[in-house]
Amino acid sequence: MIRVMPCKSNKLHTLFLLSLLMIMGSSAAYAGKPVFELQIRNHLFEPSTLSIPANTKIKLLVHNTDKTPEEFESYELNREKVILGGQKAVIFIGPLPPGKYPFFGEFNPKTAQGEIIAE
Amino acid sequence: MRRKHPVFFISLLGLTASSQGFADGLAVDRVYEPYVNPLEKELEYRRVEVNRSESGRQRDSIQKLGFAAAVSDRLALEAYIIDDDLGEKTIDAFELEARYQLTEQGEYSADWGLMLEYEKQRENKETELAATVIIAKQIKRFTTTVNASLIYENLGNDKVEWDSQLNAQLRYMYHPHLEPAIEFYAGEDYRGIGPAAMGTIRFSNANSLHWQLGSIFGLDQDSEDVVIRFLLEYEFY
Repeated sequence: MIRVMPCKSNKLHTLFLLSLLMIMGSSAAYAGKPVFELQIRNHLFEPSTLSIPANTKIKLLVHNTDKTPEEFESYELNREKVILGGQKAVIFIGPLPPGKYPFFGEFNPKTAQGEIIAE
Repeated sequence: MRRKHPVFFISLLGLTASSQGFADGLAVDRVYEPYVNPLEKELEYRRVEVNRSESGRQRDSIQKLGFAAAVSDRLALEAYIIDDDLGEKTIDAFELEARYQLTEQGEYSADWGLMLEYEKQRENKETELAATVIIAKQIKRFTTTVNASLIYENLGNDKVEWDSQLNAQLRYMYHPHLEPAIEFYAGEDYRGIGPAAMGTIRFSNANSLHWQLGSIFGLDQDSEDVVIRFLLEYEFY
């Protein structure tokens, strides 16, 4: 934010900002989301395939039972979450259209692989 | 706490609307996302090139080199050194940044974050403090991200300014290596929009290289004709 331009008032900017915030700002929580659980054990996801309801937002509880951290990574789900060793993390997913959504552990990508099936 | 976000925003907007103008910093920078990952560290290089026209502005480029580290699962800190063409020194300014993830990704209809920035010029007493609300919303493969900033500038000699700034991005998740986007920037005396592209290349051990390139075109006569921005970010653990 280094100085480069002189000052000039313009309300258009504020109106645009207000409109965007009104559209995006309705952050009501989704109550009663189904909860699914996933474990990381010996650098593997258990279960490696998880079926969830399509078109429904779910809460995925990931428990890393290993001593080392792992990263839940999925481009298809647009999620990237580091879970420290021995800790749990919550990942909100969906609502997803029916389909298969692969995920992997970025610290152990060759072994830690899985798939979410929305059906 | 989280349900108070709209109230916070209304307050922020009230302050923004009453300000005399908009941030007199170079509006084109980067659009921040609200997410923080524990243990993550980043080395970042940014360059912004300004194509001057009749405006007679003096700056041609700004470079930033930064190092960031997540200090918790919600908070990341970053420090920059800044070089611009106006200053005679190699390092013209320092910047500190704290980014806080307010909500879990996907928990609400939009994801929220908050960022505080402090910048100090070396050659004079000018300082700048900015508070930015970061909002991201995903709709199918599109992600809209908005950064709304309220900026306090101490220009020295008891001269103080309150400004505001808006950066927005609409990004399409085409491929991890290549994601096209449209970006909009509004700062003091600047309105610009233009295409951008970004992507991430992953390496072993969870390391990755993220790049961004954008060309932003001024929307009015007061705005720079073309601003090119480039970013390289190496993430590691």
